[in-house]
Amino acid sequence: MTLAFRELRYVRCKVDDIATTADFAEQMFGMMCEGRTETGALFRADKRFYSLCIATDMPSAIGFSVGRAADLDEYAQAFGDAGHDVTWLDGDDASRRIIKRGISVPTPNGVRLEIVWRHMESGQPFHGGRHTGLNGFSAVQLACADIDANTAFWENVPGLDVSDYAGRAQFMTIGGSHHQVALYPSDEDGVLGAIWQVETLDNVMRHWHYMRDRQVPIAHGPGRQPTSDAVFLSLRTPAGFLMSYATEMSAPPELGPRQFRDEARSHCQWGSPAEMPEFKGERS
Amino acid sequence: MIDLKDVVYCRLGTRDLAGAEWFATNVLGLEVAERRRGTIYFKSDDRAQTLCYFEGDPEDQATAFELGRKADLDQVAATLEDLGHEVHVGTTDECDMRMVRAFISFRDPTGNRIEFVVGPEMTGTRYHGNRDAGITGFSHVGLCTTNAERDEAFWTQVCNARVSDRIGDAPLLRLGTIHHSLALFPFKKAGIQHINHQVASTDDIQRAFNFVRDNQIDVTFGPGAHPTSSAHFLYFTGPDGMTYEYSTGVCEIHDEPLWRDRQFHAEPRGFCHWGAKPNIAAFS
Repeated sequence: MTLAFRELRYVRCKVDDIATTADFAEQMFGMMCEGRTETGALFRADKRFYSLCIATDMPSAIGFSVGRAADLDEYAQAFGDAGHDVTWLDGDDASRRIIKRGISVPTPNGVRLEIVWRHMESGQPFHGGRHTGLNGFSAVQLACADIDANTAFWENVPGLDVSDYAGRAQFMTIGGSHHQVALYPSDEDGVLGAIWQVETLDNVMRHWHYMRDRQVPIAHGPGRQPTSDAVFLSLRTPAGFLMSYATEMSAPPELGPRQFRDEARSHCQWGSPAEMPEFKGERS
Repeated sequence: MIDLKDVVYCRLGTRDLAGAEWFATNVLGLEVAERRRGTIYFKSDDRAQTLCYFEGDPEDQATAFELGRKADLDQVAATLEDLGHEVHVGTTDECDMRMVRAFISFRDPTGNRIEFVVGPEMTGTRYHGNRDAGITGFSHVGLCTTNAERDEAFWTQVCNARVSDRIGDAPLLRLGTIHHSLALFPFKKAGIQHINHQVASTDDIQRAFNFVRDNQIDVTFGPGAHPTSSAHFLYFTGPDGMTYEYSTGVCEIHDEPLWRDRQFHAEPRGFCHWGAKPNIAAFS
């Protein structure tokens, strides 16, 4: 079907404990808390009212927006035709996500794809507790025990384009920037992490020194992805998923996807040490 | 006024010439330009040599500056002698050892061995380093000073150096348009405090950080970014405890009459705006 996604809107991570991850997102990572209860919390990094949600009672999810209510119907139809179990998000389900309406579809790695309409924008500028340079939400990284099933899912009904391959990891885009979804072969299923955009390389490097001074575990970086050209730093949250800062990504390659070798340098051309097997490649 | 054009080479004594060569080629990434008995010359750009290690006392060091086109070597020697400096005029053999047409040698007020040279040799052979360090050339030296005010007066009033900025009492001095070709760092004794090579990009700085660290070389400062010259940098330790620096993106000063030297803190924040902290005696 014709691709109708407008934007990557949010990542939701299911956590066991709100407090530790919320403190990390707000005080360490530098996002703005836009509401916190015993079962969930929302965090903002740009004009999106929220781009990170943590919850104890909702499944992990990745949220994309569409521009028209009719797009939801079309997607619901297409997913239904393809044999997927579509759940409509109305009433409480919608208000909790701060959207007018949406649909939710399970993906092969257990993370839900949520397609949302009339998601909330913030009328106030983003202003974090310290100078972070945060100015956008770039991508969600998914860990996939069955990489083929996941790549097939995202290429089929959602219709994302492949930007690049690094080994069997696959970077996918709705257009514009290099990728919004990255699928990594893994021993596990779920959300591996998410990437927020910062203004400059200076921001990334300042975050690195800031985190080192506070003995925050660095999962990967500082580095530069040879695929997206973004300079990044990945931190491990108390809940286990990664939160990364990254500079603006390049556009997808004009001549179609490139195959990068299955090695650590394909995930960081600077050669920074990686804690995660997902970023090491099979050859290293 | 003694008109200096640029810094051209450093000469360093060492008890372990083979070890110095290993470091200069395999870690630093320089190219062996020539070997003579007890001496190895290294190349980092179009010049015939920009670094020389010779068998001798590691305290035996010299830094050379090229005199401006109109400078008269005899007149320069007379000026220095009038100021009470003992001047040695280089013999033909000594000139050959330095790959220059003529030179004089003296000690600056702190006692650093300085050579003012005429006609340092260029080559038509392109520099090609052992490893892909991205070096574009030898760029500046830091010298130790036992009295920064006195030595600043020597370099700015007897010679044509201008103060671009100061970090505490340490002046960063320019000879041409490059933010600094010489810096004076207060220390208890004379000596070369650091030797800088420029690299092409910030990627080279970051790759070097991981390369140097993986090779168990002591990184003493960085990666970081200087608030003074705006350069991204990495400092690490070489043979006989010498500090080597890579940097990239050093700013140039073209509006000579309008530039005003600025005062920065003699603290980590005066040296780095990313938050790196130096582990270098003369920077603390």
